[in-house]
Amino acid sequence: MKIRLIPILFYKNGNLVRSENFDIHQILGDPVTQVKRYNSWDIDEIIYINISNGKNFEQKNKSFFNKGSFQEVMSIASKECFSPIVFGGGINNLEDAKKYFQNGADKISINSLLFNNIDKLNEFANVFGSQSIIASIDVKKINNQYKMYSAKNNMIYDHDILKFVKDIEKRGAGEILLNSVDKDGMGEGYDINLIKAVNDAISIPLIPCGGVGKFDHFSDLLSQIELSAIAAGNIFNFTERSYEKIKQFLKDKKYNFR
Amino acid sequence: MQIGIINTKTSNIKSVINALNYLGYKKFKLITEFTDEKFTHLIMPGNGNYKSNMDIIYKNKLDKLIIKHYEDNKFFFGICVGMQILSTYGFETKKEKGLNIIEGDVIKIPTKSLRLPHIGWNELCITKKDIITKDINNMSSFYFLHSYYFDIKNKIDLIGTVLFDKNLPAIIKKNNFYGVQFHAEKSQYNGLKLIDKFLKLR
Repeated sequence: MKIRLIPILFYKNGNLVRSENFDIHQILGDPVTQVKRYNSWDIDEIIYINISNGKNFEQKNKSFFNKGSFQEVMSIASKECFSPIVFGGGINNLEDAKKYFQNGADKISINSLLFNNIDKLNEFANVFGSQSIIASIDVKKINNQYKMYSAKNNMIYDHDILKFVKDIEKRGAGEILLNSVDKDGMGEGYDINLIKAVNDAISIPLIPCGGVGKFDHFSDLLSQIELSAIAAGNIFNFTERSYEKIKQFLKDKKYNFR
Repeated sequence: MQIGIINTKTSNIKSVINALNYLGYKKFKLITEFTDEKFTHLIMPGNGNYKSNMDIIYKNKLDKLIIKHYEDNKFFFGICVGMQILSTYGFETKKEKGLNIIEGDVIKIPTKSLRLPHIGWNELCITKKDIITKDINNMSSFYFLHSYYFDIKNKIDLIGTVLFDKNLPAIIKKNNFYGVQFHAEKSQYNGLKLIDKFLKLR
């Protein structure tokens, strides 16, 4: 079994963007081209999330790139990607979820729905199977305490995180994607304490992300926690041939990558 | 040649269509219910729960279509749960009758040391020579995504295995019916090669 190295892409109002603390979103460019580029790198898997907010959510894109709504981007991008793609952002009901699969998703990721209508998770798992459903959790430190945060709802939640992830697993999530709002885009490394706590609480695979700025951050994490997947965003956008180089770097350290 | 892709509306069918398009197969029919039309090659994409797939199959009389296809000795390619539905019974959610084309049951992967679902790239061990794996190097990686596996009864139906705590069936074959546990449509070039080989079967 190989460890997966997963780039995360963010789509906002027609553009591919990079994210910093879930707050600053810098436009990177064409929302489709990067997927094709990743495919040519023989990538393990891609996570692609629509973080457009409010009424712009399904608005026809007015960006320079003119690739259309996220649904259209999904449909075009998936045509030339023969590694699994996870799409997420804006799935509220079974019909939305079906649309995502029909437009090229191999798995879907849900986030705000976990807070707004968690029973949908059970429903999705029954229809699509647990293995196709990723529950995405974003965590932010408030007064030095970890709290869950939903960017879409613009809310901080007081639920006990470890109880919450256990409940998510019981309801049928196949994987948990864990991001840290404070580490996002900072390049200081993963929040290893948070990742360890969540990973120990669940028995499904965890995909941690948030904070990678250099190659060592991946090996720092893997040397402390046994994981079957690791994810990051920015490092893949700004370093030339980064994916291949990171894989080689980690393979040289004897980690089991493809 | 007449290719049909079964559309249960719960699968990642677009990924299968994309793979066929990429390989140059532009003509195929999407099948949602029983039809008298004849196909040389049927593909059953896989996503979703065994029971929800069987419910859709029975409701739309797709069982009749697939069994007829088998009796006519035509080619079939089932992916993940699209393979698992060929079994005698499935035990995801609750016991459910399968198409019973390949003997065995679909049960939860027994593992104490590894996390389920089995998600990610894992190596295919080719256990029996077959035309479909002719151009694939042994121990090439394919993308797996499942918690249940097809515990086949007759080893003769086995072409390849994958190690996940124990050896699980990864490719099975009975007459012209093939099943792959991994997502061939999402396993980069090796997966595409396998689909191409299947569609070239005559």
